[in-house]
Amino acid sequence: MGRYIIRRIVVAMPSLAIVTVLIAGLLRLQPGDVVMARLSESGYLTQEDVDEMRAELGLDKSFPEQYVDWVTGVFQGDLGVSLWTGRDVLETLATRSRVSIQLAIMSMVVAICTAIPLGIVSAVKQDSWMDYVARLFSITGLSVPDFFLATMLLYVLSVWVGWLPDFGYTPPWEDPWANMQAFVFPALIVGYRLSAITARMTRSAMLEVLRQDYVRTARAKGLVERIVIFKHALRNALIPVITIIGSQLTFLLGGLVIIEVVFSLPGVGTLGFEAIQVRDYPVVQGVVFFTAILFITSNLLVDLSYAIIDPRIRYS
Amino acid sequence: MASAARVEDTTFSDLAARQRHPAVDATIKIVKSPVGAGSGVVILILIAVALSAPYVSPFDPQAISRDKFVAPGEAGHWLGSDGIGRDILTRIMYGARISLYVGFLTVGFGTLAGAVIGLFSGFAGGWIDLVIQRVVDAIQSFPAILLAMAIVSVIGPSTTNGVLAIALIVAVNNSRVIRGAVLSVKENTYIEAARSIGASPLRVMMQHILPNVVAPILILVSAGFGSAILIEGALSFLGLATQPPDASWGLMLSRGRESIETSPWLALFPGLAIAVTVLSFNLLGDVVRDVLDPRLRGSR
Repeated sequence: MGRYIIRRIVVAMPSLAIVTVLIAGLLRLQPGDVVMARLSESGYLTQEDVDEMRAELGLDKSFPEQYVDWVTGVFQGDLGVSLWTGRDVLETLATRSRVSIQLAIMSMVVAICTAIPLGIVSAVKQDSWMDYVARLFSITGLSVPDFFLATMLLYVLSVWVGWLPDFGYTPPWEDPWANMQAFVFPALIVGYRLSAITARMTRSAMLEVLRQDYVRTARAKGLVERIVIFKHALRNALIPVITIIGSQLTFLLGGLVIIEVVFSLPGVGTLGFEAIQVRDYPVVQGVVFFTAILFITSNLLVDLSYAIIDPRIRYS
Repeated sequence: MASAARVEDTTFSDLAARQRHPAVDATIKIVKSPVGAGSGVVILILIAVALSAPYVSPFDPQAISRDKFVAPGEAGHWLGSDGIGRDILTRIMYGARISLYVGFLTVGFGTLAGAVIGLFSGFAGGWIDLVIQRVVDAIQSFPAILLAMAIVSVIGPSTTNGVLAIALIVAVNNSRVIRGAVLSVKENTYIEAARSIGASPLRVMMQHILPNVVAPILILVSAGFGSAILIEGALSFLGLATQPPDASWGLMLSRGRESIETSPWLALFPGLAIAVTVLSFNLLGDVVRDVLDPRLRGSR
């Protein structure tokens, strides 16, 4: 098991390297850099000032040199400092990720709590009105843009209800009520879209499993339908469902970007969105690194969870 | 005797069905299903509106007028007007042009490039496949919207650049699916047979493998429109694709947010336009998939 995990991490390294080079290189293809952008805000400066500023920020070096510097830093736990604010990137990520991670977890919970029951009902009562309602619910979730839902939700809250929560970040241990207020609506929207995909997967996995001989055997030996469905069918249907939930993680992170921007939540998504626009390379690289690590970890966790659901699977 | 005759009848109609070209057969099945027909009609209307917008729209999409923030239904503005008096219905009709342009271009380019990469990677195998798949992994490990943002920030925000960014992501995702299909087709005996009689690799790829991965490619095409239009909407919403004054639904929605408390229709109608369009493409995509690959029924 330990060796399996290490091997997986080693195998993931090239992808991690490719994605950081790709994004960091991509942003440098752009004409002009952060120095020019900053100067255009601060007014007149001489060429010497510009050169000095570039040297100070390490931008006078070639891209490969900058990249090697950055990778060396990563191994020392140093992701550099923001070219704009001068703040430590790792520290900023740590602060911002609290928001994104809480939002991601809450969305996942919303998604799983609605999708799995919906998927089961949809499959067990196939082609009934309940199935149609559940399927309509999920295909709508796949089709209605999240930024549209968010916009309309904010409208309903502010105009019809006449109350808007404060979307700033309050740690849950300081004021759980304020924390919940800020997160519950964004989590419902991200969770809805996620549940749409998961419900469809649960339904088709359940339909597949319900046709199996062992389900017929379970029914034939007189088991209560509830036990047949939850103990015999659901457990076997869960593997593809968990895979899809895991693979939705990058999608989820992408969804967080838009939702964080719409609700102006201070998360990693808004951080990346702003950093890309002002070409703050260290911050962008940090965000890329963060999401890629999250993706690799979640894939690993998904694979490991198979062994818990299906005891026949062993990792070595 | 009556029952025997019926058996014969069905056999004959089965034979007739089997003699039709599979593409014709699939199209008939899609059109005959109520969901397929319904969503197909909506999409055809949409295409008709997009093509005929300059002739049938009640106003000019950029024309500024004194009728600012007119509520829907008043002063000849069926869906109301925006803060500088432009007609919302007209702009939504023109927005359909942008959405469909984005949909067709991204799906076309994304499928073509994805098929080429997927076929090549799966067919070549070995280290070539390994290298290509690691790059695909890398790109897939990054949220599509952030990647599109990075690309657009380099090449500049515009509708066409948005298309390029989305198409690249679609191509990468499609290539993975097509590669998977190629890998399973490659193991068939008829591929070995073709090789053993001396068919060139290119011939094997184009004549023997490609026709057998058409079903997954068509499924990707039909599912691709919806997501392409959604991503374009999101990029425009964030100001990274279509630029003002052009009328893109995502951009209109984003602008509408500024005056949402007094004139909610500015955000409502463009949002509904995206939702209905994407829903129709998704429903049609589902039917296409059910017809072409019954094993995948109901999954995504």
